[in-house]
Amino acid sequence: MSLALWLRALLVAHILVSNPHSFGGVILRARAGPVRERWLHYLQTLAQQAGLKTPLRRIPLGISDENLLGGLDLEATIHSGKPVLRSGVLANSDGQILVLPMAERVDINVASRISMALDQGQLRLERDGQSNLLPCHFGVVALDEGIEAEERANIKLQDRLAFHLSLDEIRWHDLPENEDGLIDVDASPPISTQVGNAASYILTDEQWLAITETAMHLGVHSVRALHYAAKTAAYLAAMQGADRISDSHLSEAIALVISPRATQLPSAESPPAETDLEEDAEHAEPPEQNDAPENKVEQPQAPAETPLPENQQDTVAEIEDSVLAAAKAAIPADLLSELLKGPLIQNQKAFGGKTGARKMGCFRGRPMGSIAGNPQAGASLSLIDTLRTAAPWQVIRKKQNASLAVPRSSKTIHITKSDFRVRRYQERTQTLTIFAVDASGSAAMHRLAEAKGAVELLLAECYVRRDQVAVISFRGTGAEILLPSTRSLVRAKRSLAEMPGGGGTPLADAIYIATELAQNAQRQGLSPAIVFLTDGRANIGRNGVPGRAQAQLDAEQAARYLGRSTIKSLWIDTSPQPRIEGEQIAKLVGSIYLPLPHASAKEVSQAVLRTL
Amino acid sequence: MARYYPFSAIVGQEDMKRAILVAALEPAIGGVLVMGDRGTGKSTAVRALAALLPPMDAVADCPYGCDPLAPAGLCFYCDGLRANLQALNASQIAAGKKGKPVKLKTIKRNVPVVDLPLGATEDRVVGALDIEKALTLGEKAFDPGLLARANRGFLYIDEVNLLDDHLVDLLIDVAASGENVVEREGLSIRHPAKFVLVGSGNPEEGELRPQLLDRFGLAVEVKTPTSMQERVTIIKRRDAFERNSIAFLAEWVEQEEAIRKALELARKKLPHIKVDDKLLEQASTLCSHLGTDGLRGELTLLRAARAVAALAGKNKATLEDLQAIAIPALQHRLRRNPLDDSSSAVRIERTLAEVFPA
Repeated sequence: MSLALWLRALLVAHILVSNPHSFGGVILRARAGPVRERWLHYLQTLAQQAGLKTPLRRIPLGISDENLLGGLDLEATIHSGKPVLRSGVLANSDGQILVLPMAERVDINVASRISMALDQGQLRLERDGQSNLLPCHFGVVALDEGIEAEERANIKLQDRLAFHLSLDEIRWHDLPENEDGLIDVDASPPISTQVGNAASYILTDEQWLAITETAMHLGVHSVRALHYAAKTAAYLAAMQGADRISDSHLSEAIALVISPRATQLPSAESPPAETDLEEDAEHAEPPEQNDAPENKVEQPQAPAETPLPENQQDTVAEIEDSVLAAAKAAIPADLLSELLKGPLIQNQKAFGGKTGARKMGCFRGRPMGSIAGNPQAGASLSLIDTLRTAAPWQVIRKKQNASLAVPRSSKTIHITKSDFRVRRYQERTQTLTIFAVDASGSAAMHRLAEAKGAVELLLAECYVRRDQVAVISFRGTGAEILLPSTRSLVRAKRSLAEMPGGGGTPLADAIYIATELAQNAQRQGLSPAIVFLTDGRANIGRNGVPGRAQAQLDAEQAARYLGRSTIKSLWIDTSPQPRIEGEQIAKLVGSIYLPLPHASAKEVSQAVLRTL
Repeated sequence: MARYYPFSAIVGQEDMKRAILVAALEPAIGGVLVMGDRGTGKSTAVRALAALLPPMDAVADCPYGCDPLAPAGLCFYCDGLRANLQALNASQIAAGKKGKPVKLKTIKRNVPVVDLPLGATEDRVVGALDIEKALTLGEKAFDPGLLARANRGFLYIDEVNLLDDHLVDLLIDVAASGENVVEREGLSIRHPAKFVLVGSGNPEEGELRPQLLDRFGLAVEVKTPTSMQERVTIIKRRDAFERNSIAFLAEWVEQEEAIRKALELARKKLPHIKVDDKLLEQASTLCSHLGTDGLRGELTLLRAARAVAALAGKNKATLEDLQAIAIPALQHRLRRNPLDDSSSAVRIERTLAEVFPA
């Protein structure tokens, strides 16, 4: 199976090299290692044969706008006395392939500039007094080294790069000794004819419909993906020299483009049985496990063999069946194990990692270019940018100063206050973790002590990270802020120790107050996250009115309200037998749900640290 | 010159198309913001707009493309041209020559649709010293920026939610005053910069600051079409366009022309569209029920309703027009209600049904 995957990866390299820009590129999800190296080497060899510039140009992680897009070439400008444009990496790579390492960590600003150029095939440069439109057709190989499911390349890039390859399932000793025997690089027809050819292949109406419906079944909504799949099918047909696009071309194209984007398994399939869930637990383990990869990939084929209950006389349905089967078989294993757990959460809030939101500042953080200003109050002068600003004025100022009759050598650079540029930095803001602890009678009976212990452990961790914490307790008729956001460990501990238990569960109130606190924090520039520790059994409504049914409704409404915001949250279900109500509410909130029926304080705190 | 996908060939997304046309028709509305899913044709629609707009009269040499009929005092450049002309005419009369006085030279120009790309620096946006002239001639000349180019046209910002804060501040200021002021070391220039702000973006990547949100007259939300037929049509058309854009454009010439005609007709009609007291009352009832802040929403709502009526070829704006544009005109002005978890659009729909039962 991994050999088939590898061949598919090589095929992608061929398609990519034949026309880098029209497919956007590929997201290569693999950790650094021999497999990835070998694929890159293969790509490089192909690129060399196709006459592309090698070695492939890399875009460093923290690239500045000046290097990425271009700007005024200071030295050449001063020397030649004429403005000289220095084009950036993007414009220099017209017709080339760019490599974007650590794509899962690429800044959203860099990702959106790359996407902008990909979309338009040209780069509009409006920088440093230069206004230019540069041709800019390139393909991107985004190296995604993410391990966790949510550590992925930016969604903009995911959408715009046609191919998503996952090489993590391939172990290097699975690879053939030498791929020359498998795909003969030299035997493939010259690149130029392929491109000219591909445009003459047109999909039939049934094939268009098949692509669209298959994508629908797999929950792929992006129209770009459909477009790429159609184009890939045409390319495959052209590469084989076929007289038309056959259904196997279509299946392969869908396997390459649509399957890796799947967000659900086809609805025709019965929901996973109990046994599947157990297997999932195994799948969650690292892929190094002996034969896990084979298991994972083969699994979806089983249901596909049974014909779908659709009108099989219809050609569309027929094509679609075969295509869908191929598509399902090609869903990468890591994605599949996620999908088997149920539909992916659409409302993805995590931008990844434990770090806070970004904030511009003048003092510390990652440099983000410069801005006009005075180098005072801690802001530091950016010498190069100041010189750049002053450069165009030199001739004018020399004339002016000559009339002032101040003796100056001709080498003097005239700089005035208005030229000053100061550096700007981007820093991560602090996070605020809000603990909403259920202290009601039902919870107190079982778990209050553990919850308190867990919060204390988390507090210690927050203290290390210099995060702020706040504690909300809810019991009786309402929720109260036990501890407003603070960094004081001692105060937090004391407030927890004094936290009384007993009474009803006013869940709705707790959610509202937590949300309010989080929104306030957002306004102050903090990045809030909420941790709910509760059994999720609301029995007090929003206005302190008892009644389980109303309380549940109120809690759901509150949950939806929080769910519409961008606040990250974690829901720890502490009841001894987790029930559906808690999970439902957690789903509405859009939070990560963790049922921990028998967890100790330590386990709870570890769960929080893992997820938030 | 890149060829853009034709406006009329965009499948579905009627709300977005209507909002864009309304904003193009009535600049006083204050532009349109298109937020939504990836790959829904946001940028395509905005770029397609450029091809639809009829050319306008402009002063030939003016870098800001001023209207020849505009009053004096708005643009220093046109004022200079006018002064020269006056002197010329006066000298001709003094010389006893007969004939008509020389007028400002005007040309037909396409309505500018200017892109503000990410990563643009401030000096290119507002304009700065002309580097070429400064270095070679030692002259202080002003090199107009994007705001100057966008005068009387559209300023399009893709990924508006990712724009640098200091640029956003600057844009807010200029969009509100319709004038760009550059003050720098002997360069002291103010020039007209009246443009329709068009923004697009994906809300998942960051929210827009409320101050900027409020500058947009209309806001539409676009979603990926879910109907199979629509999706098939979209990719087929897109494919045909990429294969042969010239042939594809030729196929759509008639439809494009129809929209262009409708726009032109609507432009003539717009000043004469009547709004009666009843509609005014209905607009303010709706706004007060929704609790929108300030008069801005109400004003935009009425202006947009008039534009909708003009586009439909009517002489009078009715409740129907108001209802058609109520969501785009108001949805970004509502306060979030903690007790109501439904989206702004749903709340407006509900209120419409309550206030104006059919």
